[in-house]
Amino acid sequence: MSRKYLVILILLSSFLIVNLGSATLVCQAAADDIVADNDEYSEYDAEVGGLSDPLEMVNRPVFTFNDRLRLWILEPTARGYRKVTPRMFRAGLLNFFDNLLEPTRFINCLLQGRFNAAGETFMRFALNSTVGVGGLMDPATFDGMKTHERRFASTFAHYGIHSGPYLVLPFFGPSDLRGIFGLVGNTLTQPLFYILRSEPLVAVAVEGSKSVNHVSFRLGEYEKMISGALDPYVAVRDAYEQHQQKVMGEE
Amino acid sequence: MLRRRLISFLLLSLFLLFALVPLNLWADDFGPRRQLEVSIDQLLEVLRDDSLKGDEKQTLRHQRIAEVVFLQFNMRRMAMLSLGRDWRSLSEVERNHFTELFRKLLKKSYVATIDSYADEQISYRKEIIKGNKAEVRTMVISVSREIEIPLNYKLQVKEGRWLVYDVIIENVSLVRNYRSQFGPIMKKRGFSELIAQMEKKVAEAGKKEDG
Repeated sequence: MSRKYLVILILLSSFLIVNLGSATLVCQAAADDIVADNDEYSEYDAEVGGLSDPLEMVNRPVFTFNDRLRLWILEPTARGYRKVTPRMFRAGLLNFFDNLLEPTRFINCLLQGRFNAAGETFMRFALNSTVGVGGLMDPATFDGMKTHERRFASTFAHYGIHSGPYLVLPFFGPSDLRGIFGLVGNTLTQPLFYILRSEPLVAVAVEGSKSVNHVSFRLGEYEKMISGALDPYVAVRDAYEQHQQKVMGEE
Repeated sequence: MLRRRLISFLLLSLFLLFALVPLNLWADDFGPRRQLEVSIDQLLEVLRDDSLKGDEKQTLRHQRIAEVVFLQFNMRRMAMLSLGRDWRSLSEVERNHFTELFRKLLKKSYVATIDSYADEQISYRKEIIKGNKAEVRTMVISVSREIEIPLNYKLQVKEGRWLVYDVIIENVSLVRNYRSQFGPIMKKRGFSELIAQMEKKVAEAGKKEDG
């Protein structure tokens, strides 16, 4: 009798532990995303306005420049380009440029001690560069391998370096001080950089085509986002900040 | 004696077991995800309606999208959270006016964004429920554009229904984005200036759509 009792006790308690575990998991996941009400507004308190912008006076004109560049030059060019180019070609180019980022991602996965992610990134690069015809196709994603978006800025963040002030870079768009150092690291680990180092004009042309090709997949999105904004500069800055918080904070 | 204690122990354990099972196992039928799904299905119907396609039908189509989508939105709460604590000092008339303008702003940007999702598929990823609040995570998958857009909804129960009070597109919360814009204007210029700017924006965006 007492042995039976013991068995039931063990079974039940293991059941309880499993359930307790999943319940706390769910609660934790929820707690990460939904802040308990102190008052109704506090859900958004901690997050709003964390990124400092002491250079707003300089940033605003640069933002206006980028805004015009996007709406008056980049979008119309991409629209025309999309009309005359088959989707296969554009998708191939998108994959090709994305594949070239894998070495940077691989190095930063390693630097952050994410060895599984580094392994997967390496496999992606190997598979897409060979079976995927130099990166034009993306069989790795088809096989269920994920892109691990780790670049130098996220490595700096990983080691506790703060973003520093918000900066709007001409052509490149929203960034911050940490982002600039990240950009340097990303460029130095970029295969194209070494190929095109002696040909700056070609490099600019390549970057330009890359942007046009990229925008051809996201036509009109920027305009729509801006169309409901009272202050587009602040809207874009906040979008950048929210995006950063999410990407940099992810485990 | 031992037997009775065993039975009561069993009952107690069973009770604890049920109490600890995650809430969302019970909420399948009336849960936030289910309610959202109904609304999104209606939206997709509008988007795929051939009689509403084409640029010349855009105004009508946006009208229909807004009707379907905003039914699932708690617009007043969205407006309130976007404004922040200044909401408390507003009169009822001011609150209604502000909410109405907020709805028109959303119609210009959010509805236009949703409109571009016509030939995309929605995949439901996760539903997190905590008390009377929930988050439903979806992915907008565009085969033709080679992209996946994470689109999450925050919902809260109001009168027995789960209503959306925030939309998070590609990690960017709509409410938070508006709060970051409204905050400085309220602080520096005050409510009447904020209303003036919103009215101007709504009129300007409207002009563009007609032309």
